[in-house]
Amino acid sequence: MGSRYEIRLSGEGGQGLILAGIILAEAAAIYDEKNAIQTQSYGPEARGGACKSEVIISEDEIDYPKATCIDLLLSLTQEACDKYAGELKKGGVLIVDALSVERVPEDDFRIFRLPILETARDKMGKLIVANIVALGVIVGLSKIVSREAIEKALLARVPKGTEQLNSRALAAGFELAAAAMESQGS
Amino acid sequence: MLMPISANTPWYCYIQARYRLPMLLILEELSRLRELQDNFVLVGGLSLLMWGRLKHQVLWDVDLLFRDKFSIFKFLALAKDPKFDVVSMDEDFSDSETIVSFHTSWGFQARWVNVDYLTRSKWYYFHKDTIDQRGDFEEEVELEGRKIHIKLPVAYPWDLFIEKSLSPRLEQDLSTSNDLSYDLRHVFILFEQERENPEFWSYIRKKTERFDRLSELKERLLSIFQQRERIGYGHVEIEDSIARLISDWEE
Repeated sequence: MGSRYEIRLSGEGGQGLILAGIILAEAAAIYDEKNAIQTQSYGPEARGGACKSEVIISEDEIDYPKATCIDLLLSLTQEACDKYAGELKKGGVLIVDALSVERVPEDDFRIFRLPILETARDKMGKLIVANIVALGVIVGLSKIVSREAIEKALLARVPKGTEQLNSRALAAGFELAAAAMESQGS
Repeated sequence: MLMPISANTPWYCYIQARYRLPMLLILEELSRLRELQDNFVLVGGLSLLMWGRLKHQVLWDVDLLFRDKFSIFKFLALAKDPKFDVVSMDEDFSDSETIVSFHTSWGFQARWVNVDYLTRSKWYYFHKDTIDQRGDFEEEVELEGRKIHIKLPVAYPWDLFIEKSLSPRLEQDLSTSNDLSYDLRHVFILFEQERENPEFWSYIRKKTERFDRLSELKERLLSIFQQRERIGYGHVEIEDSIARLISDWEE
């Protein structure tokens, strides 16, 4: 990767994407000893249901804390994809939920349509862990932090006794990423 | 890198090493700005860390609760020490029924800390009431050859227990069984620290009653305890005596 890597997680309120961004930034800053900043921003463009969380991760200093050239965009809703895909850089990674996002922009992106919400709901039995499945997908595809770091950052936030469900959700995300990379021959 | 923990570890050591100095300098700068504009209090997880109630390492941010939206406008206009780069993350205020917020990021030598400005109806007065009686958080920290003096109105843990228990965000976390909820985590940490302290329960009752939220708090706490298995806190034991004590609350 280039030193600075910008990730935007987008969807709707209640999907836990802000927390997912925080966990990703903690994996980078606390466990992989990189520089990281996580921000949630609201503005006129963010109203109307769509929400976004951004994480910038860099081995070098971060000279500006706002995302300006998105390397990886996750969209869990059509509205979020429509709103934010235009800011993804050419050659960037676009990850969309296979069920809730039907239309993706035709551009020079690496597009991954993955059953993130379905995996959380049907395989994990809890839709609320879709954000954790998504984290597994993001890290699996981008390798932006180590698997060990994201596991530690996640487990540092879960209450005693619920580690298993969250670990399984993360692992399911990694499996989706591995299968997607294999099918794309990367 | 995670730091080794001991019982005497100072609160600021739970701030990740590369962000420790920037965070302390920001708190010092806020102490100076407070002398110019005394209409905010520091709330959220960082306030619990500063009072020694949290003992874990996360990426901490600073939440400033202002008296009203106008106070945020005034604070935005105050000149900050030029050693900080202050970047507005939002294009505009985010207004909802329950909260008005504006997010900024403060950088010191390219290390960034989120500083969020918030206002939530009467909650500023709720916290200020106790701070006026008990005083500011005050500490001098020596770090990297600097003496950093912090004197700030920092929300008290017992007040935060009430505020977090009643927050709409926690209500949503309950309804979705979100076991990663940091509000629930903080509520249970404080509960386990204070459960056997009668002064705590007496304070919680009186303070909440004074703010006309006692029935709501009673309902919410009983609901949290009842659902604890589902939200990841099944290991926390709730004695009948505590459940009875809360059930007996009447306004």
